[in-house]
Amino acid sequence: MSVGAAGADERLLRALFDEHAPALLSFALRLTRGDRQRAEDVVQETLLRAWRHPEALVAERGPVRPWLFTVARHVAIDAERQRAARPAEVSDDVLAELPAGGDDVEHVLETWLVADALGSLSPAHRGVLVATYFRDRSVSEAARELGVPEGTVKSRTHYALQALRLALQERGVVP
Amino acid sequence: MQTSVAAYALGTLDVAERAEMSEHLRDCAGCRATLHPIAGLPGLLARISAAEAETGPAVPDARLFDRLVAAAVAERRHRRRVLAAAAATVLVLSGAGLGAATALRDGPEPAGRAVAATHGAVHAQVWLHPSTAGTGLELELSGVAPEQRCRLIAVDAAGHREVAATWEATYGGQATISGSTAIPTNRLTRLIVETLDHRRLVELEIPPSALARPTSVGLG
Repeated sequence: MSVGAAGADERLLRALFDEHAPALLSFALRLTRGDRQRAEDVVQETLLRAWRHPEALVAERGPVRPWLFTVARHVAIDAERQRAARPAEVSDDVLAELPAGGDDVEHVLETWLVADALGSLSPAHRGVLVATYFRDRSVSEAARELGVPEGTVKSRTHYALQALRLALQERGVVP
Repeated sequence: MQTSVAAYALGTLDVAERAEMSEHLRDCAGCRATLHPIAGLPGLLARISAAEAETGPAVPDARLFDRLVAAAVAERRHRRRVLAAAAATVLVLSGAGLGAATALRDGPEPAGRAVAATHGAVHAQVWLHPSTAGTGLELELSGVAPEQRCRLIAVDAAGHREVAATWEATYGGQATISGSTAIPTNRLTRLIVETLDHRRLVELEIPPSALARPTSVGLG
């Protein structure tokens, strides 16, 4: 009954946050090379700009996320420049590593979708990929570490990749 | 053999087994069919760091959302003060149609209330200030093109319309217009920005709940 004026701003911010903050944070962490505090600053400023310019969120004007990623990139660059202006915090190399926009935004977005798809797998499925592929271990080494038969590692790997492919399809990353 | 295809694709088979599978794949259509759809996955996974794969994607927490809301509230209050102090600015509008109105949460001052609406490129925010003569209005407009005469219409609960402001000038990105109406704030139901030939650019609904609660507190 007491909706209306009271929560509209917060509802818009909540909708923006729920839909875009996870992807933006993941992207911002890359921009800041894992600095969580600075990455959160980038996310906050990016979403504030979106909130200030709701007209940019109109779907007919094109996909919103690439726009948000580009804004985030600019925010990160500006923050870096400000830091660089203070001698104690010079870090030009970070600027050089920032994604260059354009196709790169697409690439970064896709990378986030891959991470998101991986995160959507069951712990067992993700675990077997981490234990083998990501830690660069063979099936037999991983089997010893996990304390399961090699056949189990292989079949789990099989089902993990099937599930991953499905998750990537759902996100439109693979056909 | 078929369940080893995935490990083969990822390159995690032991050397001897890998050679065996390579050879097997030359002859076995079934295993090749299993390999085909997953062959591209290792290339995609290579983009993810081991650390990120282990912990999953970073999840934004509630604290970050609270910070975001607090920053928005602070900005809204600041803008209200700036707008209230701003002198009337002339501008010209163009565009068409009606926008869905959204009420904006107000600052802590009991006197002011804000509503906003966007239609296409046109974005309007109006701050309402109850006065003894009726209601003072501060309109902020953006996303409009030059060379048009416009007016702000106030509509009361009975449907009575009153022109609250008329203006014309050169548009410079974003502008503020001051106006007033004899309609008391608690009787206002709608505000319409239209051209002088009655083409509506954007329409702002004033939710009754906003009127019932003149002393809303900050967000959160």
